Amino acid sequence: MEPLAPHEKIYVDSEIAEDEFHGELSCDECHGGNPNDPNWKTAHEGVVKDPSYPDPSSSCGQCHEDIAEHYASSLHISLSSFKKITEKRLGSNPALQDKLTEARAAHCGGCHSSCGQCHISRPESVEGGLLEAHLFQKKPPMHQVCTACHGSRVEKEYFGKNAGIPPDIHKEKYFKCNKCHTAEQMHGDGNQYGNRYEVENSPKCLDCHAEIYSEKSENASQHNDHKDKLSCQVCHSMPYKNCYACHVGRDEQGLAYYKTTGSMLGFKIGLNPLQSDKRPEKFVTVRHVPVDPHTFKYYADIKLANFDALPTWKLATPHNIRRQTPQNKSCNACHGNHQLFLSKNDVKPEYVNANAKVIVPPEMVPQKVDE
Amino acid sequence: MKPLMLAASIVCALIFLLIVPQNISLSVGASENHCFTCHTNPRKLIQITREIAKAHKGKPAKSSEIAGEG
Repeated sequence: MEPLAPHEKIYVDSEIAEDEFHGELSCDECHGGNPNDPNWKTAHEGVVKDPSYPDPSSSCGQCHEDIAEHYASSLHISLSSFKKITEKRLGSNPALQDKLTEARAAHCGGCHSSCGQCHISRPESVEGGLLEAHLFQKKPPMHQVCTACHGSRVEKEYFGKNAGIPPDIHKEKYFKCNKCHTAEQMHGDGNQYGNRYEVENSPKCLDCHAEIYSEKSENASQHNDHKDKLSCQVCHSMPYKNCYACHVGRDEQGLAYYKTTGSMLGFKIGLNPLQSDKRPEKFVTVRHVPVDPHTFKYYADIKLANFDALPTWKLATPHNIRRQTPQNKSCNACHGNHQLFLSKNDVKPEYVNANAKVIVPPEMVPQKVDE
Repeated sequence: MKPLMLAASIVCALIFLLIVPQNISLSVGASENHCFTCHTNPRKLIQITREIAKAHKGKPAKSSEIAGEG
């Protein structure tokens, strides 16, 4: 994403005055400050950069009350998965809870979005800057908003930026993020979800590809044979990024930092750790996430006591879907191919307990078939 | 005399209509929204952002210790 010059970040297109709805609002109605003061320094006293965060009720919510009502339940605002996961791994020591809250505020809390940080500006976590000079964007531009944050994994997968891996087939069909990830899904529905896979109206491949099980479908037999046994990505995803150990802290100047120890492209099929009626598949693609028992060592010099409560290889839905992949070239490209399946040998000895639920025992790897 | 006065009145009225309302709107606009006049003026914004950058010179925006992918 092209960086914006400092003045570009705050330049406003006078065309906004012609916006039949937002153009009727004066700047200070949302942002505060004193528009009558010709001195820019004093005029900005009390100015709120993003009036929609953390509470949009007195700005966007004045007109878009139906959306603002559920705003706090959107994962982009609540970041509830960070809280849920880190607290589960931490264990029940109340003294450490405070430390964890401090660490989360410094390192995770900035990765939120808001009405403004999707529809008016780039998100603050990528240094902000107005989109289209403050002209309101009904559909957030993919490059400047979605993949500005979801850059390391989703962007590289979707646009084919990982060496040797082609872009997602949906990208080649010119799909933007919002084709699958609708506004209703982004805006929250009032339910406090623990992670994105729980979200009721999250996208499903079958929303568009319902015909794959029909007899008329070209590959109906393969799809029916594997129905509810494999996630779509197991057959249709290419190798994706896995990240390892992240450590966070503050430098000598008090600035927050993170350090990850590297990333690797890979492809692993694991047992579904979130098996449910909604996700009945036994096998899913799993991705290693950047966590370590000592991730928060800077804040509390002990390891996460309950680290093994969650796997470090997590259910993943990579964004590099292809019709043909190395593992679906033939039946035995997958059947009997132990390398594709997450085994004990793929996991560091100290992480084996944490990953017990996702590691595929050798006897569960599908056997070779006569082709 | 009467037609002359009438013509003069019309001219005065036209001058009033043409000039005065503009002055009124300009003064209202100027007193109403400095945010708009400044934020729609790239030259002014460049000048101010340079001023801000100068005041913050030497202060890093983010830690140099950040390493790896986020």
